[in-house]
Amino acid sequence: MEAVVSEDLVKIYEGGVKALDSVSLSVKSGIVFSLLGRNGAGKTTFLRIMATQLLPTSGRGYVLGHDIVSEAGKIREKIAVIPQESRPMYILTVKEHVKYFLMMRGLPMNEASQRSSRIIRDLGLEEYSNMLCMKLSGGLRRKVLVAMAMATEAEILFLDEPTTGLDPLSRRLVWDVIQRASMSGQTIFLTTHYMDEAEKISNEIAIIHSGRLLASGTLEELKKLTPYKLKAEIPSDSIRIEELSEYGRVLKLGRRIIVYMADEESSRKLHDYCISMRTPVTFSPLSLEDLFIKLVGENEYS
Amino acid sequence: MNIAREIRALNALVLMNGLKPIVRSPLWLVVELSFPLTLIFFISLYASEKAVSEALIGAAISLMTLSGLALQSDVVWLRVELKFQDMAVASPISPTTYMLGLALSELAYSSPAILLIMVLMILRGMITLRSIPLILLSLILCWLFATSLGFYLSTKITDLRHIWALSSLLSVLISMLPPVYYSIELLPEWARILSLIIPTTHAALLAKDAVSLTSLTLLNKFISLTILLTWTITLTIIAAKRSTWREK
Ligand SMILES: Nc1ncnc2c1ncn2[C@@H]1O[C@H](COP(=O)(O)OP(=O)(O)OP(=O)(O)O)[C@@H](O)[C@H]1O
Ligand SMILES: [Mg+2]
Repeated sequence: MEAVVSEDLVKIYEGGVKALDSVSLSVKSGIVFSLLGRNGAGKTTFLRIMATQLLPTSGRGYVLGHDIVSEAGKIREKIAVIPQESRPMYILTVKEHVKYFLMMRGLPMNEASQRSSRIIRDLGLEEYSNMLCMKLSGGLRRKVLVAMAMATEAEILFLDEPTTGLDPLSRRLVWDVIQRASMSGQTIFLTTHYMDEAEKISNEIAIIHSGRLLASGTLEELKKLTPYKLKAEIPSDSIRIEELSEYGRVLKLGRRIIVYMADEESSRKLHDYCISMRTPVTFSPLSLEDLFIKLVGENEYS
Repeated sequence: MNIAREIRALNALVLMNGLKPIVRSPLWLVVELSFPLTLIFFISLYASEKAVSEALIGAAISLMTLSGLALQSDVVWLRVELKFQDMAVASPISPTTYMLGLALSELAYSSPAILLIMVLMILRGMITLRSIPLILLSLILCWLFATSLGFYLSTKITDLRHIWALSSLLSVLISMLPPVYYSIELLPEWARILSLIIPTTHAALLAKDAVSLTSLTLLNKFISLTILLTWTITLTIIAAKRSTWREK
């Protein structure tokens, strides 16, 4: 069963901004799915349309088999969201937030209370449980939102940049909670700007750019989209860019030059060339971040 | 509709946006009271006993109306600043329950003030058992129409500063300017006719009639009730059908 499906989804905002341009995407049930893209790529727009908060201009969308336009009511029973840039109410405590939110969704007070205690513990928020949110740091406030959404145990969770502003340890706690949810059968659809996060916790990834879907699939599948396996980074002021194209595909990013190479042979040659030019160079295997920069960069600057 | 679930949702919204914040900053209760009590105080300085009684009725009506209008700022704040409405939209709660829950939470702020006004009216011997139904009816209708109006407007406006301005203006236009605190007979003919468009004028007429501060003919009573009901029903339907829940 597909959890989230979009067919030729288009969104044109009032004023004419085309935020989504015929996006067709499919997300399997029970997986962690990450949607990546630059600022303004259309991630939030896509997520909000699928989570029934925003109407599409055209195209179709289905969540757990229900039409996003005509069957929103059925979908809303089964989903929960964390909006981008949402924040808790300052005058409520952490526990109250989670508990009242669950009650608002229709849970009895006892169950709401138990579930909120559990998620607060899982997210390492116990010591703040009875603290007013106005006294929490920015990252902790974000975690309260994560707790609210995760505590719903909804079939699909739409999380718009859930870990923005969180410290590395907190991010890992959130990853644990997300992965546990996915293991128990929930589907998690998230957006993020952290490539390591997407790489670590998602089963599948999609990249959009200027409202168009560039790629989607497992990390392995995405890596196959490019013939390149290695990359080299060279400071741009130390070398002439034209000299590098024989070793692989060259991309200039600010003050760095990146060379994507298909095999060890090219990297050896580039290594020798850099030594002869006395310029520093670092090699590494292709990561999701490289893939992102390459795919998006090519679309941006081609 | 699952009644138990709706009640839980209402309870949650009242706790979240009403009772808990009130307990933590009770000064708001005083703020609620300060406006009507100040007006009553001024009126008592230079007007008759009867005028003070009228002002008390007016205070109750204006408190209910203001409570409904206060919904506007909270809805916009929850939607724009906290993105809380986004979380509510993508959840089983219906827009009507959301509106009602928040409206009840606003009522939690004004109910101590309304109670005090009621006690003052009882102490002055204004309220009899027979007058209670009509007073309650006009108060509830005022609250409903103002709530619907507030919710509808709040879903259309995206800037908190706009809603603050609009909400203040509406408060003056609906609860202070028309003959709510004072007697309609004090107005010149043209203003009297103009004021009859406004629903709170009729609520005040009905409530004042109930406590014998004015005496309406049966026909006039019927007309006032019809106008008040028409406003309330129309605005409730508009709020239910035309408010923006999912954005376009
Ligand atoms: N309410 C709106 N009205 C008009 N245009 C909008 C609106 N919301 C978003 N846009 C535009 O739609 C495009 C996509 O925005 P969106 O918020 O979906 O991007 P995003 O990928 O989530 O970006 P970010 O990573 O910065 O959150 C942008 O060009 C943005 O300016
Ligand atoms: Mg976004």
